[in-house]
Amino acid sequence: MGFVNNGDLANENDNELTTPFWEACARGILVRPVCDACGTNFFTPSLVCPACQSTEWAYQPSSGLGRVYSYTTVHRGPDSTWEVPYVLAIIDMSEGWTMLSQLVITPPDEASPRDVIGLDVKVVFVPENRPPHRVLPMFTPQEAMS
Amino acid sequence: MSSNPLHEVAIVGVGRTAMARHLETSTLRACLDAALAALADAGLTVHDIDGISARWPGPGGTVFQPGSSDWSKLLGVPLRWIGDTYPQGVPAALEAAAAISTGQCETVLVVGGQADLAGGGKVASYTRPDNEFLSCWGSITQAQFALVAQVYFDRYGPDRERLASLAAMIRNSGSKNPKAVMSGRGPYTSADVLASPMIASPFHLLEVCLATEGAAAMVLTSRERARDLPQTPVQLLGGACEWFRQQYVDPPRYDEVGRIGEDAGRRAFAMAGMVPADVDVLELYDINIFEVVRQLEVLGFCGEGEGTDFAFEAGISEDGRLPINTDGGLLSFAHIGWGGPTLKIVEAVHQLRGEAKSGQVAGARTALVTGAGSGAQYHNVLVLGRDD
Ligand SMILES: [Zn+2]
Repeated sequence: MGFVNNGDLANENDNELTTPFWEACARGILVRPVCDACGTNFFTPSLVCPACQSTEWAYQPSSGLGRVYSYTTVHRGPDSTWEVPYVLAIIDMSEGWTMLSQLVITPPDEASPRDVIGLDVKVVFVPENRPPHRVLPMFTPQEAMS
Repeated sequence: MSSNPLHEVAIVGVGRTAMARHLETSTLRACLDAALAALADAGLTVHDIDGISARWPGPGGTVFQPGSSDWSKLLGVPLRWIGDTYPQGVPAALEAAAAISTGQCETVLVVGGQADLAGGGKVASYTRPDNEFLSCWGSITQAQFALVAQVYFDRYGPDRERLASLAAMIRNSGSKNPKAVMSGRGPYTSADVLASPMIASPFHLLEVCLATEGAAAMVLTSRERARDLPQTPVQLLGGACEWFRQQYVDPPRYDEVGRIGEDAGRRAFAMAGMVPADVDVLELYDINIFEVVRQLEVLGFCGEGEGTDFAFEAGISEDGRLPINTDGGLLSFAHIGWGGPTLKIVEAVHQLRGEAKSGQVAGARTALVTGAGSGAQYHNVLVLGRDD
């Protein structure tokens, strides 16, 4: 099973690096770090560009369009406050960056992975139903699923 | 076998506590019990160790790092080398071997585990990393592995019933092991596995590991010193690690971590002068049954996408051609958090000494041990051999 340092040392949330991301989500805009020096898109945010280690990067608005790289329908949440099932997905964004998110679709429990993998999706903003009550970028099909 | 300082190190003692859903003891007490059991198994006392890899769960001591340093007071012995190796198992054995073979110390105790989590024990937080771009989506550990497995399923379409029957084989080995947490449960068929509740697609409940309590320990020293000790030494023949990226921060992708372990496996086998077919018994890190199949592929036992059929046709129970996790593994024996990887080495040592009380593979002389996997974004491999 998983290992993360001591737990006590887990990442600080809502830090200086990522506050602008959540502020943009609250305004209905999906942003991602883009390196001023080499143009690399990256996510999750980090101190320097992972391609060239430049500190000169800025959040820029994304098209919000992407494609499902992988997904899983989760039937056991982290605790009983999570309403299951829900669909986690890795989204490859049109600008060449990637994020984990949820798909706002009917869980494709019995479907073959092919039905969802490769699906073209677009961002939608959903209020977080637990603290710290941010606005979360989730994804929905660009075209109605058959 | 090419010369490598690793070959001059052996595991001379192993120990573990009882395994249970819940142990009515502290993590530290459980770790101490496992440590003393491993030392007794080795025919040694605390005064014989001068190196330790253990971390510090408390109570007592301090919050200073390295936590392993707190053990010198607990055991009443000064130390020459400490390593807060994380996780334990293979990386801890390799670090201890490096310390021993470069003369930093002579004899290392490795110990870890978890207990009394329900009662407020301190090490539970590893199970639920609160990372910023993970926890808000409700990503559980198995979901991280499922994200890798789904791409594999999409690409290779493994025989679902055969894959489930591999999980049933490991679980059934646990069913008949009196020491397994799931002892007496089952036996299971592939249909039972596929009928068990879905956890995170494509994984059903009976295809994923347990979350239990207990502690495990091992003692390593030089081969030279090992010759004077009571147990048949288990020699380190080869070992290597891969660390792709920190786990549970960025999502794992099959195209990045689907083959993790391939490089470590190649290096470990080369060090040992062995090929996969030379391995008598496998202790693979079975966080879920997909990982067993994936690891067989990356470690060179079979080609990419062929693992399910390969393992099914060989048979992975103790009488199969490819015995895997015949104690019941993480699926059925126990999984004790960051001490879990050491359980794999403890079982391998039992197998190579011919002392496994359940699931003994007749005449086993070589063993392969692995740790973590694709969803964890790191992997490690250890090749062990009976040294007589
Ligand atoms: Zn750059």
